[in-house]
This record gives sequence, structure tokens and C-alpha cells, in this order.
Amino acid sequence: MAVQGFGAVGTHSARFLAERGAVLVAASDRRGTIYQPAGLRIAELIALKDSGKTVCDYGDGQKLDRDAVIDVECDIWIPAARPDVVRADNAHRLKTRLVLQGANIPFTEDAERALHERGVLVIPDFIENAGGMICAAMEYQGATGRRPSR
Amino acid sequence: MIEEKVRANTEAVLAAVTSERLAPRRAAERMATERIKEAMSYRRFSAF
Repeated sequence: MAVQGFGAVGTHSARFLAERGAVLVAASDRRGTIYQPAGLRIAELIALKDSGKTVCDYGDGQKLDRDAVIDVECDIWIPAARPDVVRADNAHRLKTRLVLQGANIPFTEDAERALHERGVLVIPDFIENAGGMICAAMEYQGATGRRPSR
Repeated sequence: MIEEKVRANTEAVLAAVTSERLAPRRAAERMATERIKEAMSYRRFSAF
């Protein structure tokens, strides 16, 4: 998998999927992309981010431009950064089979259409990133941090 | 709870994509609209 944006959504997505056998081959943040086809050590990346550093400070990988994460070949591509990162003009650069939209409206409508025609499965943002909303609804109904839900 | 709901919603979207050959966003929007309509039917005002 490759994750664009290694903040709250990106780190948890990577950790969750890695626990189920996925290998993180690329991650990006505002300052660049780190690429390691053999697999990145997620805990190390999270520690870097927690200390205010960038994923590009990771020692064992190829440092690329921020947008180079779009070109990384992978089975699962996770946009977890900002809106409109994949558009009609760059959708052809994605080399993946499955997109899980962690960010809000990360793809434009025409980009989603083009990928659908190419057979790339793009699971929409409000299906995949609803965790925060579900948690807020539960808290509104009385759930608290004393009884954390998964 | 979150895992259960996200999983169920994803499975529902994938089922519509597979059986009706819909684009995932179309399937997801339809599912969301149906749920909103159902929820609104229990109120005295409606957005529809």
C-alpha cells in the first residue's frame, strides 16, 4: 500500500492494514515522499512524525517529491491528505487496484469516472472515513473515553 | 462499533457495485439518500 498524507488518518490506516498483512511501500507528507519497495517500518515513521520530523527523515528509503506518491505502484492507494489531489489530468498516473479515500473529496468526479472505466475500485470518502463521524455520534449519545469503542 | 459500521457500509456498497455494475460513488450516494429519506420519514418536516 501507499499512503498520501501521514497524519492521523494516514498513520492509523497504515497501522491497521499492516496488522492484516499489508506492506507500506510509500508514504508522503507535506515535505515529500519516502519510498521503500521492501516495506517501511510504520512505528519508525510514526515516531518521526511525533517528533516533528518528516517521513523523508526515514533512513532507509528513496526520497522523492511530494506528489511522486501518486506514481507508486501498489495494490492499495490511500489518499489521506487534502481535497482534489487526483484529477482528470493526473488520474492516469495511479498504478493501483484499490483506492480507499481517507481524505475528504480527494478525487474529482471525472477522475473517479476515469478510474472506474480502468477497473480501479475507488471506495468513496464518506464510506471509508466515517469513523470520526460515527465516534462523534456515539459521544453525542453518551459514550465517553472511559468506555472506548473500537 | 466503528469497524463494524464501516465494514457493513463498505460491504453494502461493494454488493451494489458487483450486482448492478454501478460506480462505487453512485452506489454509496444511493445508499446514503435512502437512509436519509428513511430517517426523515420519522420527523414532522422533510428535506424531500
